[in-house]
Amino acid sequence: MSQSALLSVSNLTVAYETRKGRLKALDGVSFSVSTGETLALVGESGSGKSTIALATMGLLGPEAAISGSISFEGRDLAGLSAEDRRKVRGRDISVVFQDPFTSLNPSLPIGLQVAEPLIQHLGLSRNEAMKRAIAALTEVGLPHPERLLTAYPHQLSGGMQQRVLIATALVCDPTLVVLDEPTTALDVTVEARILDLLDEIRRSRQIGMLFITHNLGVVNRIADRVCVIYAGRIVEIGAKNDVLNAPSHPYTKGLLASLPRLSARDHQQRLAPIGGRFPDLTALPQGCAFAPRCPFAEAKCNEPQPLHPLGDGHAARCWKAEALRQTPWPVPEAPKTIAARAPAMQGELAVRDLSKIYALGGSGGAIRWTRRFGLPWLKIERPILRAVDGVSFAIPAGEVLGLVGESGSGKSTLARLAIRLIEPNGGDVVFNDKSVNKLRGKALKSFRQAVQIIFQNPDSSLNPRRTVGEAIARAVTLHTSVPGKDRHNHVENLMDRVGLPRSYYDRYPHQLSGGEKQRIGIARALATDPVLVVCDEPVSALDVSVQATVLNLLSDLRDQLSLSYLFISHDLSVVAHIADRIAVMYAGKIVEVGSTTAVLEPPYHPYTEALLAAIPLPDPALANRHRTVLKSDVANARADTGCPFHPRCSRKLGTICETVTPPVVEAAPGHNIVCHIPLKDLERVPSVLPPERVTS
Amino acid sequence: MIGYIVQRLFAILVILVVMSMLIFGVTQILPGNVAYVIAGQFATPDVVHAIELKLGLNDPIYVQYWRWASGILRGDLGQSLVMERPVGPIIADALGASAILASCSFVFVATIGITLGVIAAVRQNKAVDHGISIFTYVGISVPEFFWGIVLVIVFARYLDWLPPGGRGDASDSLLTRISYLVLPTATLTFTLIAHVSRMTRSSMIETLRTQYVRNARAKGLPERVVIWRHALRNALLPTITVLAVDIGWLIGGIVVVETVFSYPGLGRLMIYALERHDLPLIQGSILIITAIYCSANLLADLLYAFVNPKIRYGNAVR
Amino acid sequence: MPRLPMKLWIGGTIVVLLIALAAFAPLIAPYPFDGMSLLNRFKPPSAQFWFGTDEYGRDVLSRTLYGARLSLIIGFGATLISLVIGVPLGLIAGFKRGRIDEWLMRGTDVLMSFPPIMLGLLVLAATTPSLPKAVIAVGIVYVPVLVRITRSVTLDLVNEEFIQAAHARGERMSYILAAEILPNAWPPIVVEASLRITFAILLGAALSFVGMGAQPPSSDWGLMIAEARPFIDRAPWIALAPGFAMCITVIGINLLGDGLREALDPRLQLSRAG
Repeated sequence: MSQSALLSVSNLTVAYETRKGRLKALDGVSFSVSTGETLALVGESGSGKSTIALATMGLLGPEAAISGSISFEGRDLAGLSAEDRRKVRGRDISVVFQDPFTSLNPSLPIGLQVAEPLIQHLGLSRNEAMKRAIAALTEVGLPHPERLLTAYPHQLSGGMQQRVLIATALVCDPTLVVLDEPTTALDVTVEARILDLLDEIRRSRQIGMLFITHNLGVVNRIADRVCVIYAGRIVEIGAKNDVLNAPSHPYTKGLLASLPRLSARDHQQRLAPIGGRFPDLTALPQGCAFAPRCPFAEAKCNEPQPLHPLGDGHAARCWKAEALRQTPWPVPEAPKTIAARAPAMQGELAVRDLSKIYALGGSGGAIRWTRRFGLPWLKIERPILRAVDGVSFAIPAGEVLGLVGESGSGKSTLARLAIRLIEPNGGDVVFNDKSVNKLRGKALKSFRQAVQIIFQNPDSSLNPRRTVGEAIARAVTLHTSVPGKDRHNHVENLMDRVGLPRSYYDRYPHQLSGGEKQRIGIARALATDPVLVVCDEPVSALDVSVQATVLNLLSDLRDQLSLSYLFISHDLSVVAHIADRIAVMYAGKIVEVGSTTAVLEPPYHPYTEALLAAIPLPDPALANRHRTVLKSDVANARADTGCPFHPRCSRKLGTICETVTPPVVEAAPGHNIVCHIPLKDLERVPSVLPPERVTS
Repeated sequence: MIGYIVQRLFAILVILVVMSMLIFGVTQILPGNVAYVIAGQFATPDVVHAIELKLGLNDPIYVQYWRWASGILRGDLGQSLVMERPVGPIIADALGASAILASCSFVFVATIGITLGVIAAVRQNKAVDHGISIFTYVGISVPEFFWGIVLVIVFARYLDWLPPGGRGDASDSLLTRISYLVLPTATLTFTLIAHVSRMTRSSMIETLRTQYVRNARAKGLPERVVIWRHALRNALLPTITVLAVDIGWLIGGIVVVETVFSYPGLGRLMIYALERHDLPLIQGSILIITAIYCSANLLADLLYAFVNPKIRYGNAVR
Repeated sequence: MPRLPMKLWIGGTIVVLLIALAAFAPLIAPYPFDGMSLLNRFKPPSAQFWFGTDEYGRDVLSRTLYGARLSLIIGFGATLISLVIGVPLGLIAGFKRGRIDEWLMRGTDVLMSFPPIMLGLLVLAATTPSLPKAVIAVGIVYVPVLVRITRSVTLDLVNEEFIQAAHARGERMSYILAAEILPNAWPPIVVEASLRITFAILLGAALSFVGMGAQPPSSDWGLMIAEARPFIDRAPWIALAPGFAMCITVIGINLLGDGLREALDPRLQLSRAG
């Protein structure tokens, strides 16, 4: 690795004037990136990491007050005129933004969008530029690049669009590429493919990369050095292995500790979350911004903290860094059981052969003449999507069934079918031996009381015009016999249970943080005194540190109230953390189901194996663990016949997978795999999880 | 794409049939028996009865509708009661006059409106933007007839540069005939431009905030390319819809403006027919105007589909 | 207290003033609106007749003041009609979807296929023109627009998770519509309705102008301008007074609507909350 600094940022400060006062998005940030090196900037939402990307590119609006210097190949970019700055963009420094779905212009063909920088910066003719564009599209692994030139973005999947954007960024041979959360919007199996591509490009081209992410697993996979950012300040910087193996700033320790560990043996261990709230950026303290949330904080933390060197370029902005080297982040104790209740009612939910078909919109489809009201009538046949396709499972009382699947697998549709928010096209939901789809009136009301749901999106799951108290109280009024005068008190007890201060009763949702809103969603679901709660991606929209708090809360509540959960997530490590059993869903079908330990260990369904292998883990020893690479950039590429997974399967046997519906194989009692591959072959597949963890 | 066009055409056809029924139904309850209108105020009941028989006015309403509708399909819109001429040619003459006025105004509205909108969006919150904003505010707030009258006072009566109304005739020179168009066109343009430019401005501002525009800037493209190639193409989609709606306003404006400038077009013809209860003429002109409006909307839909690759190329084939 | 946009202040002030002038017209107006005086025909503006007199010697100022009443009645009345019919239909269409939605949408398709003024003329043509009929006609013209807007807001809202949560709780449709959807749907509807008022005023005036709305001797502004047209050379003030009055009215209500839009814009609200 050459050590000449390609990009060196020093003392970068970005501030905005807001109505509440001066907001410091970045405060004295300094770092450098060398040729051929990948520096990862890690932080949670609001940390200011994306502001660094935009500042480096010179894309911050005029309202941002910028100071400090950004020097690139010896030139100070901040001092350049707007016109000279533009000439650097896309040619010497290029960028790939987070969301591929909105980053490509929907009404321009792909070819032009890739070739544009060539025409602009290098003055190539259109023909030549298109040739170079084809080369770039080939380099990023897109099939049939010539055909792509005239395609439009909406015809491509998210993964393919991200490849196009990477090709666009590379087309002028830049020396530095800024990647702003380039895989966050993608599914984990697609993310693995894109990370492989980026790693290979970095090696083959020897370019510098500034890689911005919130995911420590991704950092481990891609970075040489890491820079951890909190509230606009760098709190820790150093070589990746040093930072991940021996985190020195309490915040880094906390971040690592709050991740659920993907392991067959020690799942369901309590997580160690970071308490408190993200600070207000308009009123940052002089001292350590993390001190209010830090379990090791002392009075001295309120003094300004310089970066404290720890050797080998490793430094942390904490005066206690050296002293805390061996101290791990503390795991909180489970709260003392608040009046554990005896299960008032048993509830077993089972779904049998459930299916839901959606007609796809759009203008495609064949046209057919039919008759309606005795008149000739034009009918447009829309393509259909089998969102849920013959799914069966049962959740016995007190059990947590985890349902994992990537986008498009039909898991959210299944959640809504299970509690009858939508009507199925076939099959049945059975609750306590009664068919839910036939329930009416009182019986339906008592089902609604017994089965509740928690939603994914904290911003949309609460009525913005209702106070917290009203939102919870409504469910109490509707479904319990609590008399009106005790209702206020009852709601406050519920708020205690989910760890919300009682003073929040009269607040509106927009005054709360994401994690707090999610707690209200939980309290609202608990207000009807349910026995089963469907959790539809309850932590996906939250930062890792908050995610850990909510996961702990859900586990505690389950123990206290003997609840069962149908816990749905795209994140297998989260599901593995909380579930007793796991069902893996692909393209509307369940391909594997079994106890958590059984699913995490061989024999695997090939999809489960790929899913497990794709998850980036934050352990430096596992940075380059074996990965089975799936075909195609479409998370739930489907097939109409045979096994739904065959278009992506790396263990496909042959035509049998394409034509014959695979059998259900019982690998062990309660562990079923839907696959043509003989069980003894599946058993021979090595575990994709780190062996030392499985045996420990 | 072809499926889409067929679908739209079929929908328009259904709408036109339903509308012709509505028009026929409503005009049937017009006050004043048609037979009386023809026979005059002092006709004897016998004469009236004879006319009723002759016109089939005592037949059941669906028979009358069928007679009328099948006539239209053969290109026969009936006989004007007041002018005692076939309705078809009368409408055709008026339509030609209105079409010239409408198309001139429409071209100005579209070009000037979009340009002003883009300028305002790019110079958002600068003096130019505020200027355009005030200009369009006045435009949207002044009724056509008042603005028309003011123009007549200033340019025809006071300055005497342009004719106050009428259309001229075939013997006039081209320049003279154009001069008749100036004031009505200016009136229509000014009152309609506000919609287009305000819509273009807001959709352009929204587009300039999108990720793909940020991405285009990150590629180092000059602002000119970012605006005209990347932003405008997408920003125009909602403007196309507004332009289609504006055709409806244009038709409304034409009815008024033709009255103000005594311009012999379809709008004035219709008011004339309404005032005199000339049933066939009313039905014919409303039907034609509505049919034109429908086709304009269809055209806008097709244009929208053509400009928007999501519709043009259907959905993903991965 | 959030800061209100400037437009809202100016627009609000104009509208309040207008409503006051219209309400107290009989007290403020120096003469009755239909008081003719053959001695005072075509008097230019003077201390006695601030805005001059018309061909019957009626005071233009008084007529313009009374005209404000008619304009506001048309504007607010017609908008009220389209709100009362349009909002419930839109709510039901967006909430129920399926067949009801399909039929309602096809209905609005047909109604919207008429250019607005045509629909107005068609309704008025069926009977003798008069002001109440003009109000109803203009109201009906804008029903489809309000149905569509309410429906699209409702469609966005029914997919929100808090509505799903209400379903999961087993709430009735009437409760969900009234307590969960409507409180969140009204801002865009109110903004749209405020802009519809000006369209209604302009459309009403246009109908009166072509003789299909208010009838003489009424002091409707559109009708006043139509009546003044033959005398535009001799007495331009007869047309100018109601014309300017109309412009100010429409500008005022437009400013109010735009100001409301800015005040209620969810994006701006978010930044305020954050």
